[in-house]
Amino acid sequence: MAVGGVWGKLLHVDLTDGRQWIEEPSDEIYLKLLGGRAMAAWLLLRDLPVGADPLGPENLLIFAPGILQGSNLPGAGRHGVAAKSPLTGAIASSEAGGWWGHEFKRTGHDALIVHGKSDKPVYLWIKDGEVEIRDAAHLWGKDTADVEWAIQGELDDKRIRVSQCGIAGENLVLYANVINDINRAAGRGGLGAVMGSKNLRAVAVRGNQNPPVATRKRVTGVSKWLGDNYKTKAASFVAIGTPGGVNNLAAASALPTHNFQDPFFPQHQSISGQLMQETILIGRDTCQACPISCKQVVEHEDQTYPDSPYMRSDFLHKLKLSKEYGGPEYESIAALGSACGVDDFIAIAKANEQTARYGLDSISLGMTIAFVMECVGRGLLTAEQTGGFLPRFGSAADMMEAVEMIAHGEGFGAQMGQGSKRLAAWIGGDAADSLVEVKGQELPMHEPRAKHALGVGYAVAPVGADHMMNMHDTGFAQPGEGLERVAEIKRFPPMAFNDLSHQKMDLFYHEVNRKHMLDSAIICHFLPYYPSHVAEVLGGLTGHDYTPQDLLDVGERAQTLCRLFNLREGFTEEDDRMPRRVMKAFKEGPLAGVEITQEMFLNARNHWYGLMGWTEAGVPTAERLQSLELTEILDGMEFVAA
Amino acid sequence: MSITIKVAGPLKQHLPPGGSIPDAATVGQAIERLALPEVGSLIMLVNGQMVHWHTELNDGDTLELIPAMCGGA
Repeated sequence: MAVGGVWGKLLHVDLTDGRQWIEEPSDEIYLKLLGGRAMAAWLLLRDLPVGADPLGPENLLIFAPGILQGSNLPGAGRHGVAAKSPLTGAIASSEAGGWWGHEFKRTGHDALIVHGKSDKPVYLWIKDGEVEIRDAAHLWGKDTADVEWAIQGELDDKRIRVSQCGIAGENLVLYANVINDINRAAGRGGLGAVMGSKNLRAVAVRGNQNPPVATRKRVTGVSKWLGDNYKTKAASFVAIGTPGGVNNLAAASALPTHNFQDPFFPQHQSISGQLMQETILIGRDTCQACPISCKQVVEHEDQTYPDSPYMRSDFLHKLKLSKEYGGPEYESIAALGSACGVDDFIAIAKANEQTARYGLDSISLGMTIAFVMECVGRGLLTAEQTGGFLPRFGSAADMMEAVEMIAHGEGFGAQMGQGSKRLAAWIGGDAADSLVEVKGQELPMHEPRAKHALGVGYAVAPVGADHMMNMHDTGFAQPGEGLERVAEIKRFPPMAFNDLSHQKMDLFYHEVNRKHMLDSAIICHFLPYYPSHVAEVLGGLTGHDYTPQDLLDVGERAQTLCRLFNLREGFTEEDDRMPRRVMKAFKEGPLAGVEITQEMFLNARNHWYGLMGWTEAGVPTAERLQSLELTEILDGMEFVAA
Repeated sequence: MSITIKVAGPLKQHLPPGGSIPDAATVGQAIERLALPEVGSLIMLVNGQMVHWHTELNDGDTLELIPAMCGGA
């Protein structure tokens, strides 16, 4: 192994027969793919049969950190989880923060690939080089915090880190997530359901090994730069974190309201980060080695807060919030709040707590509930169909009831747990007019009409609509860090939020490649590193030098491998579409009259296909696979190329 | 010519005296004149409509600047 930062070992475990084996990939795999999404997509292409049932034993569940994990670099407290998605049928590839990824890397493995299905509930216990499959019957049906504490108790080590599905995963909710460290989530695409389908409740890890490092001072040099600069360059994450977005985006019609129907949520102050700071916030939390501490910790004990002018007082304030499950981030606040018309912050925080307790993706959860609320309002659902449950926009109690029904698969909750697209088909008629999804994954809480390139990004992201492996136009609308960072590859002028020109898509091409690179390396997106910082760290870890362009090539490889997987599973350019609702102009407010026409969209999307070296049908060409040095990596695999 | 400036919370300390600037042809020029600190993502509104860096300004316009988060997960 001539690559530092990694062990050269992938751990495979087959739950059907209990077999374990170590795979030793070539140096080239690590150097070209790094890990995370790129490595997971390669493994899925190689080992997953075409057309496999995502909830069947053939699916692979892949836990993939990257080269950076185990390095103690701020922002490397993170790991990836991937599989074929039961929600979309495309690839699912999500990241989570905390400490699990760091600890797993210290066990002496670079990734864990889980095959097959256990005939009874089990959990994996990985302690350095030892791997044990342990009985989990006593953990099945329990809350995530109770499972983590039980495992730490029975193995007598409080420093064990646990990644798990919750009861939502056990119940095969198609947007169940994988939770680690009790309140961190590999959120989207139903990875928790894949885990539950294998009867795998948890993966507990404890590692004492330091990955080899070629030149440590190149890594510590970047850590020091971050320490010297994070208070200015990551100021808003330090000050308030993601919930700061609520009031700001509301001012621009960009806070999704009533399932993306309305340009205003007048009660946005009642669900703002500022309100959270004045009321239930008791502290901030962080991930391994990171000084930014962007996470929210909340507590509430049967009290109202009469001092705040925005707090409604009614029965929901008798709820108790427990701090171990964490406070809500922006996506959860908007999806469970404004998307559903809900303005009660305690209810939103409680629902968010339940998503960590039960293991549910808050975005698909909130948007599916919003979809149901809209269908009820349109008269498309009857009490007979739903067992009497007819949730309405604006009802916090209905939203919270829906969360419980979905997690437990009770009655109509089982239907809601299928996600909005399958629900629309079940309802029939023109229920599909109310869908706001791409490839079956519900839209996150960023308004395409305020960020046009992001809208194209929703259409083309390999996992369905996604806001992280995407570009946020507002970050490039003025001189600043966004443009300076991409200037290490190519300099662009400030570009308008509603610019969908070829030049904007050139910027989009580089920026989205950068995001996929971060998800392969792996680094948290909230750290203000430039590509040259990442190149310096990778050089220090591996002993091999990278340029910023080399890094963006990694991101392009990750996207291309995901594309090959999706094409092979039957997706086409027809699936790279935007929901009609978010292309139509609002009639009032800051975005009045701003539309995205189909012509604008196709012009932008198809230009990006060209930049990626894909045909007009969105198929990677053999020529581009060659120039990305993927041809040999793909040797022997089944895929579609032009 | 006079352009009224409104800024959201953390930017308030950078408001010009009297809350206006005398002269700027475009939104971008006005922002540069204000010498704001790095905010990452900026939402720009003129007279309540979302605009962009190159949008021209007219006498009496109100320019509102709001820092926008782009994270979420």
